[in-house]
Amino acid sequence: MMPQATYETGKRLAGRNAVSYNFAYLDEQTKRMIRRSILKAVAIPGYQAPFGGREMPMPYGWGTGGIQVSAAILGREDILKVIDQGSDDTTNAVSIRAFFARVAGVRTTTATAEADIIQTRHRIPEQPLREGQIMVYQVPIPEPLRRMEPSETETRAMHALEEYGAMHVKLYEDIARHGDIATSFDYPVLVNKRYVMSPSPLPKFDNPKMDQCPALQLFGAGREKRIYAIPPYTSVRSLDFEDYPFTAQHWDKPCAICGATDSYLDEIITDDAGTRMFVCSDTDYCGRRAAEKRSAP
Amino acid sequence: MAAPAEDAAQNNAEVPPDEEGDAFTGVCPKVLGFLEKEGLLPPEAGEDVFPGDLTRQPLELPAGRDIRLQNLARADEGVLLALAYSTQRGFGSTHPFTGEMRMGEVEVFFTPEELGFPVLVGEVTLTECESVNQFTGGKGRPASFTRGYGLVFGESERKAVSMAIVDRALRAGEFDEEERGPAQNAEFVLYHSDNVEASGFVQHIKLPHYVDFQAELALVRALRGKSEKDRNDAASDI
Repeated sequence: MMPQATYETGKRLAGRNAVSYNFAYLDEQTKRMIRRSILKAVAIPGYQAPFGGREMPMPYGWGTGGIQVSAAILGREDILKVIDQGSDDTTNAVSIRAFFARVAGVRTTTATAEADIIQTRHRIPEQPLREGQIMVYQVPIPEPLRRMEPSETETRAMHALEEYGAMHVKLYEDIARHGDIATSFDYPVLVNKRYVMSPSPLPKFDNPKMDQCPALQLFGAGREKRIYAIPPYTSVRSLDFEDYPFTAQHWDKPCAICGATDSYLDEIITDDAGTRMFVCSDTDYCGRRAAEKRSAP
Repeated sequence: MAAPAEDAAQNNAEVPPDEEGDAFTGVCPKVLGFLEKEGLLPPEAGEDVFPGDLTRQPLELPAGRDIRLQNLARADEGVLLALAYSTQRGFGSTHPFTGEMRMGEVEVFFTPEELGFPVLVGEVTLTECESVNQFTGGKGRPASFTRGYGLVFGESERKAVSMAIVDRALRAGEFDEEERGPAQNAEFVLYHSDNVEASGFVQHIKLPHYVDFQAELALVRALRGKSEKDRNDAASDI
């Protein structure tokens, strides 16, 4: 016998605003389930914790893992920043920011320093993160060993046994073939001296920012239904060899707009002749620096 | 052309007319039940087996048949069709007989997490296919047929029969069959058949990737510069 809604229940429901969403879209039980996976992930840095990922109102591969993590941790007083490619005004970032403004009614910002939670696709902001902030990464393929071993059953066993020879062989083969480690983004890292982890498709320029970072870093993969984490002040080492040490990208010229020499630059073609201009990919960082330069005497 | 028509007329004549003259609405026993009673077909898991829920728990491998069937019911029709076809052509080996092919309406209940009680949200049409496949047995076990099962949304016999074939193919391990094709590999089939997942991930390529592309561009330029320098150095050594 299935329980039936009582008249009282019906009245109570009718009293609510029928078109409003539960805070941050997901129901409370789902948020609890996600938080449990987040806690497990934080307790075992770099371990991919499975979670019962839900279908979200956007396509898989577009940040469904990231928005589920954000929805589970958002508080009413939190200020949210969302970036894609370092920029606050790319389509994915605009849509996700608008989504949370609508379903959670939270304040949003483009200023890195102001944000409590920063959801990102493919970049870490240039301004150093601080304690109390949380980075939420959108992750397409959580498994760093996937390109070497397509089977999930196999890769889970490899992590359990700390069997990372295949990854080192891959890096060695890069050097043998190309003379250098030929991975420029999604560059594998070792977290807390235990788990090899995918940093999500960040350019390797951002890898050093993850090491001993004061902010909590959470990674959500919706389609693959995995959550992993780096707690604050945790060791994150980019894999390399003593004679071929890890190096990040660098540019010979400063940003053409703000003059920064320490930021990740995008190459922009400015005319039909193929003239190039190099500018910061972090729009908040670049805009702030340019404004300071203008206001300086 | 005349002979088949005559056959059909004769067959129709043998069907006893319904008392009301209406469509049959009583309980219709399943054909496979008769084979089951004879011991020619092993019974399916009973109702006391509580199935997992793929919409609430992540897929974990090895997956039980309950989870595999849920995954296949959600799978893309084209994927199932191609996989089923591949086993018929020899990548795996299934060429089933159809034991049952039927269609009907079922009520759908939904339990909102916040309410905690089920609500009837409507009726959906389902198509079901039960297939009878090559027999197993030997080594002291009596010979018996095996089953494949398909249950899909809507009026879709093509998807139902495809699902039944793929379900049977995925039972290869259970019957000690050699794995000879992708349709028999549960990880391959289950992870790649959900069209909502596949469609989203393939089309995310439309999103900007310029930061990563910049990284690749810088890398390829550097590698080309390095190999050019190596070539020049080698040339000057001679």
